Amino acid sequence: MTLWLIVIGMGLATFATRASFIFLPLHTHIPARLRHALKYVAAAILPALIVPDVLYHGSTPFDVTRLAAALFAALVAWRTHNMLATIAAGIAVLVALNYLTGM
Amino acid sequence: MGAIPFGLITGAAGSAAGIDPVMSIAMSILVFAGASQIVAIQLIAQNAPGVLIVLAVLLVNLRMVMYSAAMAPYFAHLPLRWKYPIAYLLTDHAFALTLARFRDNENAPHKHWYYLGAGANLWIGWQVAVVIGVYAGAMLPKEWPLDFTIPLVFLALAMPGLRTPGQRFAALAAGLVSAFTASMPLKTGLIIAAMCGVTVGMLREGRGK
Repeated sequence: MTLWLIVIGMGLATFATRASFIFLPLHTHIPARLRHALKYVAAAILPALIVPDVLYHGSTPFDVTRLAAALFAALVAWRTHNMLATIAAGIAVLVALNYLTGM
Repeated sequence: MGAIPFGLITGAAGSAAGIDPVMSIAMSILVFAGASQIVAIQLIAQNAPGVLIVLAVLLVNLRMVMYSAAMAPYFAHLPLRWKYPIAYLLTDHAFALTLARFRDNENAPHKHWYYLGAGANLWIGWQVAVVIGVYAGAMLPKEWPLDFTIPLVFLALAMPGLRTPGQRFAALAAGLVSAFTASMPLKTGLIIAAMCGVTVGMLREGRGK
């Protein structure tokens, strides 16, 4: 039940962002300061999700294999802009390192 | 970036996190925004509080406000009953596919029909991919490090967006702060790290002028 409420809240929040300027009267312009802040929200939120997920996985306090795999995947993402290549690179390095270190 | 593999991964991430298939599919229909769906799946699996999950989804999707502002002039003349489906179908892909075309062809009639056609196609492709991902993901071996695909998807989404020095500074600051705020209660560290990143990005931008 609670999960349903959360998902409906997510849907409403997302719709609000999409509807915002489309529903406003014509010639309402996005304030410059807001536009600048928005550019950085997208750039900031994803790294804030990635870093803890890579560093503090499971019981290990600092997961070096995941960090190495993520750094390699970041390089691939930067060079290729390709999601499947990024995932393949990251998983391949992680599986190889886990195999080599006998985990 | 292909929407189909992204949808497959989003569906599979829901199953890997132990979320009920019906809930994963309902989320995909109600939210219809891949990155935020994966963020929500991750936070639900970590038992984060509901308010924080909705806030994180809102932050991830704030970029849609920019898209909404860019598209608004082309749809301003339409009645409200048109604006609901137009807003609902607004995604990175729909925006990229239609805006360039509208700009090149300011006077073309029936722009809204073109947009709706593109949006509906993307919607169907996305939902089919998520449903397949949900059920295929449940069949994959549990030993595979599939949870690691989540940060990898975020990496693939983040890298192309770091175009300016300000954005790179924002990303570095947010990532660095998040390493230290990760243990804060109720996942509030995520919001704090993101806010630090935005602040640093804006300061860097001010300096560059």
